[in-house]
Amino acid sequence: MNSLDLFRNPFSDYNANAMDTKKILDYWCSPFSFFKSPISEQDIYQHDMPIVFMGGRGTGKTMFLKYFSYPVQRDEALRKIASGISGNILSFIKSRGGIGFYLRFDGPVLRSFEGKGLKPEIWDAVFTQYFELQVCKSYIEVILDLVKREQLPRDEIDKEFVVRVSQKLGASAGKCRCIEDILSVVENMLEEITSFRAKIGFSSVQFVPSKPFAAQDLSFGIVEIAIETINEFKDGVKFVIMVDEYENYVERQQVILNTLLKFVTPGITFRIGMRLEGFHTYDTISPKEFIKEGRDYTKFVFEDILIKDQQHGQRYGRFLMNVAQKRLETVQEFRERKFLNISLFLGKRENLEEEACNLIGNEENKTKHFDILSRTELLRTKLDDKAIKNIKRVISKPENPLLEVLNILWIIRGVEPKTIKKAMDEYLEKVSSPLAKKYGLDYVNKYKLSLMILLASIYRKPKMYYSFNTFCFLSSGIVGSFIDLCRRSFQYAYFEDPDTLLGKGLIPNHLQNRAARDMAKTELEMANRIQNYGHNLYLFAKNLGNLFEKYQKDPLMRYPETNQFTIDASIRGDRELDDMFKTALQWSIIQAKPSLQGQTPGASKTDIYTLNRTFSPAFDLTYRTRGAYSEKLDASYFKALMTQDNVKIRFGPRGKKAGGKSVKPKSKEGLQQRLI
Amino acid sequence: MPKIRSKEYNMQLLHPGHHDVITEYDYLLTACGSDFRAYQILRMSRDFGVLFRKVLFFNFEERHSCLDSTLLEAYQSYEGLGLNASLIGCSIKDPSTCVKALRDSDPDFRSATKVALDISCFTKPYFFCLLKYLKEQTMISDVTVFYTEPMSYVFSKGLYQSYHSTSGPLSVMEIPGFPGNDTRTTKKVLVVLLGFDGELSSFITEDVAPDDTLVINGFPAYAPKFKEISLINNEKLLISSATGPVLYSRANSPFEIFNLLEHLYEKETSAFFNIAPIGTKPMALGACLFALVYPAVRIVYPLPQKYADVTTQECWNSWSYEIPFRTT
Amino acid sequence: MLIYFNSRYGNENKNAGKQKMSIVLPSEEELFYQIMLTVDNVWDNKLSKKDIEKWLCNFNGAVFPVADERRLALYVLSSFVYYNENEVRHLCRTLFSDYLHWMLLHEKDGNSDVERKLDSIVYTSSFCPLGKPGESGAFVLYYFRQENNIGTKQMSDALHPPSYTKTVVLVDDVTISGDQANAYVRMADKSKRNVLLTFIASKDATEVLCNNGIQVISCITLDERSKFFSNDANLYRDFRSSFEDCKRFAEEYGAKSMTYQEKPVEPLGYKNSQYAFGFFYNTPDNSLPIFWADNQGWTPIMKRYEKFEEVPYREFPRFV
Repeated sequence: MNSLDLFRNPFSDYNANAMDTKKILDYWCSPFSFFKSPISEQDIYQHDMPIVFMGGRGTGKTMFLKYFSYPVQRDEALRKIASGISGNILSFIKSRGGIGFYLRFDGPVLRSFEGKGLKPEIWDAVFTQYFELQVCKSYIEVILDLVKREQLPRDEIDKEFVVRVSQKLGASAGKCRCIEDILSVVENMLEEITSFRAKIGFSSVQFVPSKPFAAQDLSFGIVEIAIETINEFKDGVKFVIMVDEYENYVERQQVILNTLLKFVTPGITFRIGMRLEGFHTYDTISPKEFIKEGRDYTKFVFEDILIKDQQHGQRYGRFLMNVAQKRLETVQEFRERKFLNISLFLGKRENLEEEACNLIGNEENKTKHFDILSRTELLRTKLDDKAIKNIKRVISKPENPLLEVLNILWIIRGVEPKTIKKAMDEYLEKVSSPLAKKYGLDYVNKYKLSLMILLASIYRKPKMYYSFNTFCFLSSGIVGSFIDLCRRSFQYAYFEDPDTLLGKGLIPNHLQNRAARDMAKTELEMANRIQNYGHNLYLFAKNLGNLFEKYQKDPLMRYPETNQFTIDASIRGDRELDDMFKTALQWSIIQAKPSLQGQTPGASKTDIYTLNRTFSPAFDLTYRTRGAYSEKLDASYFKALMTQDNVKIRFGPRGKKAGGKSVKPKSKEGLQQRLI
Repeated sequence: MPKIRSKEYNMQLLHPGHHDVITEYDYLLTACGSDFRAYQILRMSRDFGVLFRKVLFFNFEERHSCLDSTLLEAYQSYEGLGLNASLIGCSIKDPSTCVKALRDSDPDFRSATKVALDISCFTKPYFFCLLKYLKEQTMISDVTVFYTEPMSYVFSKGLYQSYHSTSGPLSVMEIPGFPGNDTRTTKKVLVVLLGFDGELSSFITEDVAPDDTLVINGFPAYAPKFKEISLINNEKLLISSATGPVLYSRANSPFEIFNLLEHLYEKETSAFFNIAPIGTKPMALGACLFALVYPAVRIVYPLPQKYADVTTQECWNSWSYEIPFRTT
Repeated sequence: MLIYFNSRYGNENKNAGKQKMSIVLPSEEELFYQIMLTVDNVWDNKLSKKDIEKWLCNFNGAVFPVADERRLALYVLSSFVYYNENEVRHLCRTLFSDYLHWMLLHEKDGNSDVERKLDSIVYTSSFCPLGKPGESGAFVLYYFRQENNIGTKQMSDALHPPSYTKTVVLVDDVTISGDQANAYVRMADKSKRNVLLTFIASKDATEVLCNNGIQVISCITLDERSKFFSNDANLYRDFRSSFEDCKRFAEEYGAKSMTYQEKPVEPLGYKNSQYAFGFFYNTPDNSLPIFWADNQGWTPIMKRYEKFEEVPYREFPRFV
C-alpha cells in the first residue's frame, strides 16, 4: 500500500452531529484557551441563569454542547484516569459542578407534532408529554450508567429514588423495583406517543396516555427527587439540560420551552444552542410573561467572539491552526512527516506582488492599467498622449505593477509625477521621510489588496484567493467554513498534485483558489434551499455582491474594500422585510459586526452588517472589512435587493469628484490586521 | 427476529403484444402529470394485456396550476383516453388529508378486491400513504404496482451535478404514518437510497443527524452510467466518515431492496432505523413495503417548495410488481 | 443550437484552417471537475490528472482545434462506465439471485416449498466458466463462487458436468456478439438445460443465444441508449447537433489508435460496438479503442490486457 492508498482527507468530517464521543474528544479544541469570553468554562455548568449559545451553521455550537454533555465528559474522565490522574467519573463530574444532558430532536420529529387535522392545543399537550418524558429518560439513562459503573450505589437508588420516581410516573410504574424498570416504564409511555403519531395520519384517533404530564412535572420533578434522595447529588451538582437546534422547534413548542427557561428551579438550568435569530417567539404560556435577554437568559454569540478577534487579534488564527492540527494528525503520512501546520500547507499569507506579476505576465500589453489616465472623467484636466507617455515614464515600476497602480491613483488625486516617484523611491530605499511614510501607509496598510483587485479587474482576470490568512478571513468566524475550504483544497491537491501534497506538504495557490471559488458558488446556490425566503436570500446575496463589486473596482478607490452596510429602521418595522432580514442573519448570509459602530467614521452609532465573506470569491471582493464606509439601505432599496434579480446598483456617496482630494475620514481608519 | 420464509416475487417487464389472458383490475390509482410517463400504462394497457374497470386520477392543484400550455395539454391528455374515470382533487403537500378522504370519494372503492397503483408520477410520500391506507384500511391482500422508467434524465450542459429535481426551500418530514419507533434504541441509523439530487441527501443527513449512515446505490441502474451519476452527485454524503461503504441494490426492483434492508435491519437490532427513499421509485416501493412489515422503521423525505417541471425525457421499460400485504 | 467554440488557448496559428466544432460542451475545467468527482467516488482513485493529461496528448488537433478535441475527449471520458471490485462482487450476487428467480419460475417439479426448491436447484446446477481457464469467465467465476457461497462441488467443466446435473450454468462477464457462447452450444449436451449468466449482454446476443438453446440471464442489458452513436444514445441528448462531429472525432482517432495495435479492431470497437465501459480487471474491446489502445502511437487511459491464442514473441529477463 502506498501513501496514495492511505490518504484520507483529514477535513472530510465537518458535522459534529455525525461524530461519536471519541471523535469529539479527538477534535476538541477549547475556545476558552484562545479567546477572552464573557463566560468561563466553569459557567457552562455552574452559571444559574440559562445560557443561549447562538451562531451560524458551522460555528461549532453542536460540538460545544456535545463536548460538555455527559457521554463525552465521562469518556474524558476515563481517558484521564487511564493516563494516571486520580479520581473517578463522579468526582470528575462533581469537580465540574454539573451533568450535561444533551437533547436534540430532529426537524422531522418536531414537525410531526402539527397538522393532520388536529387542533394546535392538543398537539401542545402531546408535545409537552413527549418532551417531559424524553428529558426524564435522559436523566434516568445517565443515573443508570453511573450505577452500572459503580459510581452510584444501586441499593440506595432502588430504595429511595426509584420509589419516589415510580410514584411520580403513576399506576403503571407501581411495580418498579429498580431503575431499569423505571426506564422501561418511561419508554412504554413514549411508545404511546409514537403509536398515536403513526395512526393520526389516517384516522381520527384520540390521544389517551396512561398518565399525562404537564410541563415541569418530570423535567424539574425528577431532578428534585434526585437531589433529595441521592447523596452524591446533594452538594450542588447541577442538572444542565442542553437543548440543541432550538430553531427547529416550531413556535408553539418554543412557547412551552421558553416557559421552562423562565422558571428554572435551583439545581437545574438550560443551555440552548440555536442559529442566530433562532427564537420564533419570546412568549411563554402565560400571556403576560415573556423571556428577555439579561433577565431570563444570557446570550452568547459565537461569531461575535470570533469575528471581533479576527479584526483585532490573532487568536482566531491560532485557534484555527489548532483545529486543523488535530485533523492533520489523523493522517499517517502527515504525522510521520510532521506536516501538521496548516499555514505551511496553504502559505501564511498572499504574496500580492507575485500575484500581480503573474497576472500580467502573459499579457501582450503589460501597461494596460495606465489606460486609466486616458479616462477624462476621472481627471481634473485632460491629458494628451504625450503627457500620459511622460507620466508613464516617470512613475513606471514594471517589477511591481501594484506600485504602478498606486502611483496612477496618486496622479488622479492630483499629486505631481515627480513627487510620486520620489515617494516611491524613498519608500523602496527605506528612507525615513514623511513622504515615504505616507506612501508606505497607503501601499501596505490601506490599498494593497484593493490595488490587486483593481488590477485584476482591469485585465479582466479573477482575483486569486489563497493562503492561510485569506482562508481565515473567508471563513467569517465560522470554523465549519474554514474546514470546508481546507477540505476542498486537499481534495483538489490530492487529485491534481498528490506528490506535492504528500511529499512536500504544500498545496499550490491555484488549487486553493479553485476551492475558495467552488465554495463561494456552492454556498450561494445553497441559499436557495433555505426553508424560508430561500430565493430572496439568494437574490440578496447576489445583489449585495454586485453592489460591493462596483465599489471595489472603482478606479478612484473612493471607498476601497467597502463591503458593509446599514439598514434603515423602517425595514425592521415591516413584518415581511424584517423576517427576511432575520432569516438572512440566522443563516449567516449576512453578519452583524460585533458592536455598534458609526456608519462612517464620526457618524452616530448604528448596527453594521457585512456580507458573509465566504461569498467574496464569487464577486472578486475583498475578504477584509475596512470600516471606512457603509452603504445605507433604505426600505425600498432593501426590498429590491431581496426580491429582484440584477438590481440596478446605486453607487456611492456621493461626492468624490475626479481629481479631488482623496477620501480621508476624519478619524483613524481601521487598519488591516494580519492573523499571523 | 423469527426466521423468514422465502417466497417468490413477481416482477414483470411489460411487453406490448398479443396476450391470451387479460388481467382485469377493479381500480387503477394514478397521478395526473405532464410527464409523458404519467399515462403510459393507460395508453398501452391493451397492448400490455391489462384492463382497468375504473381509474381514480389524483389531480394535484400545485401541478396543474402553474403549467405552460404545452405541459397543461400533456397533463390533461388523460381526457382523450376514453376511460371510466374519477378525479380526486388533492394537494401534494398533504397526502394525509387526501388519503383520509379517499374512503368517501368513491363508495365502490371499499369493496374492490383487485386494485392497481401506477407510481410513475406520484410523489413518494403520496404512494407511501396510499399503500399504507390500502394495507390497513381495506381488505385488499395485495396490490399490483405499475411503473414506467424514463428513457433519460435531463442534465443541463451534460454536467451531472446540474440535475435538480426540486427548487426552493426544503423541509424534511416524516412521511405520515411512518414515524417509526425510536424508544429502546441506542443509536440512530439513516439509510439513504441514493438519487441524482445530491442536495437532498446532504439536507436530510444534516437534519436527521444520524450516528451512522448507510448508503444504497441503485445498481444495476436503468442505464449503465446512472450508477455513477448518483455517486458523483452525492459526494458530500459519501466523504463523511460516518457514512459506511456503498451498498448496492437493483434500481428497478423493490424486492431486492427489501431483502437488503431486511438484512441490514437484522444486524442493527438496537438501532432506530430511518430510511430516506430519494432514489428510484421501485427502490422506494421496496422501502415502503419494508416499513409496512417493520413499523418501527421511520421514513423521512425532503418536501420541496416546488418540484422541477421537467426532469426526465420520454418513456422506456414498463414494469408491474405484485406487492403482497400479508407476508408470512 | 450551433455556437462556435472560442479557443481559450490562443493557439490560432496551430489551428489555422481546422474546422471548428459545432458543439457546446462544458468547459475543460468543468469536465475535469466532473471527472475528479467520478474518480474520487466511483473509480477508486484509479486516475490522476497526470494520467489524464498524458492521454489527452493523443489528441493533437488532427480533426478539430486541439482545445476542442481536449474537451471532447474529456466529455467522452466522463461518459465511461467503470465497474470497480465491489460492484463486480455485487453483480455476482445479483446474477445468482436472478438465476434462482428465473429457475423458480421455470422449474416445475411439484414442490411448493420455495426453500426446498431453491436447494434442489442449486444442488442440480453445475457452474462453469464460459471460455478457457485464464479467460475472464474463469476470473469472474471465482468471485461468483465466493459471493454466493457455492461449494466447489458445484463447479465443473461445462462439457463434462456431474451426472446429477440438470442445469449447466455458464458464467462470463460480457456477451455482446454471442460468438463465444455459440461456440459452446455446438458442443453442449442438449439433454441438460444450458444457462448463461453474464454481467452484461446485448439484446441481440440474448435473442440469438435463446434461439440456439441457451437461456441468457444478465444483470445489465445493453440497449441502443448505451451505444455512443445510436439515435437513442443518452450521451447526446443535450447536444444533438454535435453528433456527427463527435462520431468523426471518435472514428478518426479510433483508426489512428489502431495503427500499431497488435490486435486491431474497428475504430469504434470490436464489430463496431461503440460502447464505453470497463472493469477493474480489464477493458473489453467492445469499448471505443481511444480508451484502451496501447501501442507506440497511442497512450491508453483504461488499460486493456489483450488476449492472444499464442504469444508470438516473448522476452525473458537476464536472470531466470
